Amino acid sequence: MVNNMIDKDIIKFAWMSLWRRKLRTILTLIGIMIGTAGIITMVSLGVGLEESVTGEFESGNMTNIEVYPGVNMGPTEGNSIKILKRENVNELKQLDGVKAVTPIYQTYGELNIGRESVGANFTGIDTKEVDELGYQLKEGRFPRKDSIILGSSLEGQISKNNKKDLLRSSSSISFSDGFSELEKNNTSKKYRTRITGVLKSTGGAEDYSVIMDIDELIDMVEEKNDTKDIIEKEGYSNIRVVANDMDEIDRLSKEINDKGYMAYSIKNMIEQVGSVFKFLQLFLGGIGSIALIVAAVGITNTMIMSTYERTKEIGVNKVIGASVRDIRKQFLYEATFIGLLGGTAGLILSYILSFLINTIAKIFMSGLEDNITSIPIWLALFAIIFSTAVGILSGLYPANKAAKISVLEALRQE
Amino acid sequence: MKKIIELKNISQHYKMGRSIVKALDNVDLDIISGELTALIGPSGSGKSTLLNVTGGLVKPTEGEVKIKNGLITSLSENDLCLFRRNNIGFIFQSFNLNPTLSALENVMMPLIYARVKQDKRKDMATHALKLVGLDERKDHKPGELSGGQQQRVSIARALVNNPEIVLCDEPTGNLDSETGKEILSLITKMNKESKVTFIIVTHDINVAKICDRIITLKDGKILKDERK
Repeated sequence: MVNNMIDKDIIKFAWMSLWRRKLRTILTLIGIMIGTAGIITMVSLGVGLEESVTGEFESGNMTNIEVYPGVNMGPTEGNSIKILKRENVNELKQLDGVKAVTPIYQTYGELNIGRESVGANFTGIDTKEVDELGYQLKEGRFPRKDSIILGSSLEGQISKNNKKDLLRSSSSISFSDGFSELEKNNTSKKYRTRITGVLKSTGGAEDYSVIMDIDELIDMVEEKNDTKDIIEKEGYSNIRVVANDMDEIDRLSKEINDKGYMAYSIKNMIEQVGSVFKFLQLFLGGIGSIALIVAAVGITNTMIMSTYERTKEIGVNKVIGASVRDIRKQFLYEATFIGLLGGTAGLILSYILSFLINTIAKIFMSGLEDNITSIPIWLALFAIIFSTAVGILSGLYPANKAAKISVLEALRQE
Repeated sequence: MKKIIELKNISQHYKMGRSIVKALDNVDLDIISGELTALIGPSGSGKSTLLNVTGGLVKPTEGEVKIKNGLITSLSENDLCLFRRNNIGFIFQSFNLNPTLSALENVMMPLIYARVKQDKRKDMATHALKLVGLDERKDHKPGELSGGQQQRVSIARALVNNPEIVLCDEPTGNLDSETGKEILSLITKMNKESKVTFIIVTHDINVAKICDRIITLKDGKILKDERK
């Protein structure tokens, strides 16, 4: 009980002494603040990234590889594939570890529901494989030959003006040439269809797409363009390969690339983005660590100066009853406060930084839903404890120095 | 006649360049409880050193200091601080008050370090200020007080913890003679009423005259020791 009383008064002395030198205290705090913020932001990027990668993984798209025609970069490269045809689909189906393969054909057209007409990206897929392609339904069921499903944003867009149940509405697909405004009175042919389902939001282009059977779609396009061999001439937009397991992605991607295609997977993308963030993390961590070291030296320096400045005060206090331990404690508490306050300021700063990073990331990476930085409670607590410890460590030497001040020499100072 | 302070064979040597200065040279001295003693002598005679050695502010090169039968020359610095806290008050020529604290807060400082309970501190400090006649100015900071008033605050601070010994180093040195007399009569009053043992270092013969005992030092030795 007596001990609590001691500390309360000494803590008050420490606080008063910092308060008396506000500007200096704040300047000393800034170093600790920047150091702590740098380190917290570094760790929070790592944590956030891991969470969003895990999120993607759970959404199931991590097993998809999008295959595009190869790009002929060098003059020696001869075997790259220029057009994706039926035989390419069959070739990819032969690969080990493949669960499903679908050609994808994409084109732009209009979806008409009642009097409403919206432009949409039409994506044709192999509806026989639709269960394996990683699509997730919000409602309804997957399409068969004569039906379609909608991306969630597209559905939202239509539902705004249409109160009727989409799944029961009569709908049709049409393709207009050239400038759609002039074609509004619609001379182009309408193909009747049914909407059987709506996809969950993925944050990608699919949200604005109509998913339907590829053969139906190609038939429509060929009829409109009055050709019969659109795939022979132009090829599929791309081919989607679904791997059995996420661990197969790297091997499969490599095999596909070796065959002259260009393989592209979300896992791949995340790894690439991840390496950018690794660099950012190293950078922030580096700044943070250096700032913390400099700040620690700064605290020590400020407090040594303070012992010189307060020599007389310390001496007088010793004469009127302060023990060596009281003086040491007071200085240690001052250093503790600097560490604690600096750490708290740093934590606040990193919440602001984290908010900014997430906001900016969402602007530049459309479709990003998860935050890429995240400050869990344990990180916040750790940061405060760590910065306080830095404060205490930096205060040890000055505190001992202050405690050792000789009373007589102190009193001789004027 | 209780001996409250016993100095035995005290020597204090300082190095000044290559030569060694003997500030105190084998001094023996006993102080009786309740005595009002003046230490006089020319500058460099060792009177301040003797006071500092007595108060435990500096350890003598040789010899023993006993206060209330306790040997303080063997205490660690921390223990010495704790010992001073409860037994010895100090009054300085330049007051040495904390300029950022009010008179009352200055007087409360020794009580805080002595771990006196919070509710008692204020009463004790106010009482001490009343004894020196300054209770009306207790909320003023030292800068707002005259020299004499500041010295009264420092006397209150020295006495607040009820020490048995108060050591004064030129207490009137920074004051005009009128104010000096007031401070001196305050000290004699404390000495007579509270039976506090005072040792006053001074070179002012008027100060020495009012004391029970006058000890004259020269070259680190006691030259004369007169009692009234």
